[in-house]
Amino acid sequence: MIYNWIILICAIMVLIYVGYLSKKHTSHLEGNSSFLVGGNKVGVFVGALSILATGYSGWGFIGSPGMAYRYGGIEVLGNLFFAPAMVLGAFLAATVLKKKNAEYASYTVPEFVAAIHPGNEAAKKSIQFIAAAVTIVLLLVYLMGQVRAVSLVASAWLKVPPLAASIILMAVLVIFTAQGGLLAVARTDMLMCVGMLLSSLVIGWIIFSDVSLKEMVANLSAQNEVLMNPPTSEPYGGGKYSVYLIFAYAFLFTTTLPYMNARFLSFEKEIKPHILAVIMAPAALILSIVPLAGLYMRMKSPSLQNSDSAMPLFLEYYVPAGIAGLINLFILFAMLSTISSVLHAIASSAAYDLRKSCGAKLTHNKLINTLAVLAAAAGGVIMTFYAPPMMLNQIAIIGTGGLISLLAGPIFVHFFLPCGVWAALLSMIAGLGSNILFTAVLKFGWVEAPIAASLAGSAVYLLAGFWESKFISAKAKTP
Amino acid sequence: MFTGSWVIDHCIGVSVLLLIFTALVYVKGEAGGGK
Repeated sequence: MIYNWIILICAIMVLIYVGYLSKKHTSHLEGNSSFLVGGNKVGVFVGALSILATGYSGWGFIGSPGMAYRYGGIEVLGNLFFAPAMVLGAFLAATVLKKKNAEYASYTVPEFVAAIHPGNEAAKKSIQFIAAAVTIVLLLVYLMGQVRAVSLVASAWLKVPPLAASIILMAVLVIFTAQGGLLAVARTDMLMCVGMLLSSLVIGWIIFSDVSLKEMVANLSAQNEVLMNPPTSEPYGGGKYSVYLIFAYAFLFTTTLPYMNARFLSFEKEIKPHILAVIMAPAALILSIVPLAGLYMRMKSPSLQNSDSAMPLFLEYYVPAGIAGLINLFILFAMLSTISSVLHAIASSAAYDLRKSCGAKLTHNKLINTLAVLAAAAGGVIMTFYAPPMMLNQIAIIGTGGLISLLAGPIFVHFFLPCGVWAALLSMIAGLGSNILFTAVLKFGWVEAPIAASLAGSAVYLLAGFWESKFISAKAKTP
Repeated sequence: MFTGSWVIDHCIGVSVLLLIFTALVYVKGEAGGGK
């Protein structure tokens, strides 16, 4: 246990030092640029690994092996779809957003969405306000789930109560996020991703030094043929190939979620998207090895009561103690890298977008940014441990899928067919509204709902854009 | 089936396609002057 504390304290010192260095590298910049976009100093290597670290949360290390244990190979395939979707999404977003943002120089995703749609100034402010407000509400609830997961893992690892574990780790995140802004978040994400990649390689090495892929398939098929040759994509849908929908979901997730695509606004001006893809592709495939630990545990111990214990038990029984301690740290890193990006997205929306869209003067930025990070972290911890679960469950059902469908039309469709400000505003309302309908009323799954709602939002974007262009051109022609 | 499981076969197929896509993107990117 003391060994775990020692490596955690060393890791915390490194993370805070990276935050301090990032602050030093951007301290000469005026205004909000350093906090919101890291002074556009995020390079291709840091950017690539940071996107992966943020996208692959603790789910990949704990939840996904548990699902693979329970449902078999379909989870390995489902998790793998994040690799091509994130690479393709990042390549496309880095190519298009780089060009667009060279023109608009936005600091945040809500501001970017408002800036790229020409039209009425009040409607632009409404877009920025709605995008920021929905980001804050939905990401705070998402943050709560992440804080709960990290507190459980850290409390078991450090032998302290969950509340104490979450306060220690959130304090570290607040320190480096508040002092170094997005550059600190991206750089610490990069370090955490290196740890996650090493863990994945160790997990793969331990599994494949014991059993080949064909032997694993044969063994699991002998247990239950459905595990490796499922007739449906359960739990991802009733059709045999419904699992392919995860590709569409992960693509939208990468290109539209503010805590993911804020990265693209922070890239250096001379970044090369194809180099980004070359770094991300093999790294994403390496991270996709992890769920195989769930299949390995199913092969070795087919009667576990709780499938979520597959990874903890794998580390306990099949990984040498010292290395298992390090992998546990890197699992915490996987969760923390996502939390730091979410914290930054919430703080940016609260400290910058809400103030700007309400016409407030943007003064005392450093103090307000720090207070916003602190408030977001405190809000996450308080909601996790003290808020009434019924109220939060209602919002959690909408989830990050609500944000995806809110922004899919104005960001993703705009890449191909740019429309005006009213189209963006109507699309946002239609996307979010249909997501609420699909999840809360029609009980769609977490993969199907945002895809269907994004399609609805995108259709409204195109229809309203067509109407807007007709209306505006007709009005313009009127003498 | 290559491995005896369609899901694992698809995993291998998707991984190979991703690597081919990345190689093509890299070649095209470098041929275009690395921009």
